[in-house]
Amino acid sequence: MFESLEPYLAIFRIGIKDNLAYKTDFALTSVFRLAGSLVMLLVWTAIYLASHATSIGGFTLTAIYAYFFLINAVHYVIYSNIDEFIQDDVQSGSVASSLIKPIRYPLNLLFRTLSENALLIVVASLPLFAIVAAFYPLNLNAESIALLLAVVVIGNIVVMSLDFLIGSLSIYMTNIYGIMSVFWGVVSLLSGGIIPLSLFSQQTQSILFMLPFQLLAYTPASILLGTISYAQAIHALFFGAAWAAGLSVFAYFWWERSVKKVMSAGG
Amino acid sequence: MQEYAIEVKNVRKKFKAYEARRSGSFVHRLFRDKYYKRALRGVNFAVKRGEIVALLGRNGSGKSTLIKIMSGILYPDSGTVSVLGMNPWEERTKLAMQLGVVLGAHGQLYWNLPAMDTFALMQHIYHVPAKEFKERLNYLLGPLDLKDVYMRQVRTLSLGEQMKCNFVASVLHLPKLVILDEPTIGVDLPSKQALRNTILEMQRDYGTTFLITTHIVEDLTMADRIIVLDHGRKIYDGSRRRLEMLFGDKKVIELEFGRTVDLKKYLRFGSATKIEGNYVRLEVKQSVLKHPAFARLLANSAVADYSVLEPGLGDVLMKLYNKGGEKNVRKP
Repeated sequence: MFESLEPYLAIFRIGIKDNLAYKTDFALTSVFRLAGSLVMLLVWTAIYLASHATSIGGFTLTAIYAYFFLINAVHYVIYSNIDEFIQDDVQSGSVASSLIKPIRYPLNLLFRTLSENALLIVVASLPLFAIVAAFYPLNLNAESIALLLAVVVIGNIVVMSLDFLIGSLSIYMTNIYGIMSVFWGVVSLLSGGIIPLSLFSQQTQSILFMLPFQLLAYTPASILLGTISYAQAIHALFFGAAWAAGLSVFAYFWWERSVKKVMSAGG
Repeated sequence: MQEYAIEVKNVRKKFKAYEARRSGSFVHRLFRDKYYKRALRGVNFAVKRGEIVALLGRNGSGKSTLIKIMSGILYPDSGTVSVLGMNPWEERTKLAMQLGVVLGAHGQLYWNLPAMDTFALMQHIYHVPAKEFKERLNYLLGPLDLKDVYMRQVRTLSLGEQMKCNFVASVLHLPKLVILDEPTIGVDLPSKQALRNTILEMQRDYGTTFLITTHIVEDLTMADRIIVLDHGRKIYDGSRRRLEMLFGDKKVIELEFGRTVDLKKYLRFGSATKIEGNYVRLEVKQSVLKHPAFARLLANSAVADYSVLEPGLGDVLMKLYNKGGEKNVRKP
């Protein structure tokens, strides 16, 4: 078991080194990523000032700040770049070099993205989390942390399955930047990454809570803020787990089919 | 143990490809036409264990397709392939442990890191014990003149140094079969020779089998056998000596003219393999050199300089490509 993981741990280590090869660039890119939260904060500040409301949908302005900082912190734990890796490998032709190695290409991609995520957690997620924890009373106890971990794991499975599904399209279409931008933009909206889901109408919410995207932003942030009950979080987890199971099986078969396409059309 | 490292039988492969439209309206030309390209049209050959075989062919002759099929990353439409006794595309991962492949343009080195980091990655991917890893690095880095560069960032290395590092990364696990797709491309002369020597040493010390595609005629000196592909078909399979003999009693004459002349007079005695400005490379029968009329032409004041050469492998290959196969070359 551990011996078979040896190549992948090596891929993880070299991934860390590769990301840190240009440290200033990495540091500045990380700071720029944090700026993403600031844009949302400015937009929501403008909304609150224009509406003269102290609370919108149960969120005070401070709670909204905490919400967007938290979903950004969670983003680097849950999201991955596997779809971009696949597209780059297909475009550069290095998918062929990867397939002639005695390792599984999907695991190779997984550990490449884990190395990137590990660094982003250290330089982005943890500082963001610390900033929020310093200024806002977070719901941190054994139950909430256990729920958060479960949400993160299932959210990861959902994102990676979607990554493989979207990334595989590059095998058929070569350039999928447009598709990735549109798809992940829509996912961001449906996950509560732009507007908290509780601000949508009741009918829209009932649909959104049956989709897996809520696990990628709204649910984890709300667990930490204590704005949803444990029963609601478990309900979200239940739907998310069912989606994760279905999507991962579909992604597996879709991926196998796509690799055969590489092998019949040329790497 | 099987006698053959590679057995390829009647392999065919065609691809869907696209071609830009050359005529019609602007909108019409925004779209491409689909066509099918027959990359391999029934190729047969075998490579014995421990043999060094050079695979030659013009661009688009099917060499890279064949390499991908043998590496297990491409299915043929029909035919059978056995590599080290395995079906490459059904036992790809198992075969990969005993296979080293350098796909010329597609490097496996991490661009931002020293080559040593990629070597260390290969050590873990192929489970090479630390002691053997160190020994093999010494075995390869010294002769390839890489000891001063392997700790430097790959992006700062010359193309030749990158190619050599790519080679090292592909053979650190001492594979039984090494497939090299244009390994000496962009490599300087001393490095080319060092690569060739290392390949010969690995064949001698470890009995490694090599299949090498190349466009560089000098690379053929290390090959035990040469296979030539053209338009997806094998047009030659034999020794270098036999290939050279294809020229028979022919000689090559290089002519440099000082002024414009009527070339027809010269082409009466042989066929031109190259005409470039005032330079003509002429292929003639040996007996032509003693012909008084030809001697007079050489003595003509228009001829600034000339030299009589033995035909090189490049000349033979050009003839082979132009005639479409060994049988046609042998025809009187």
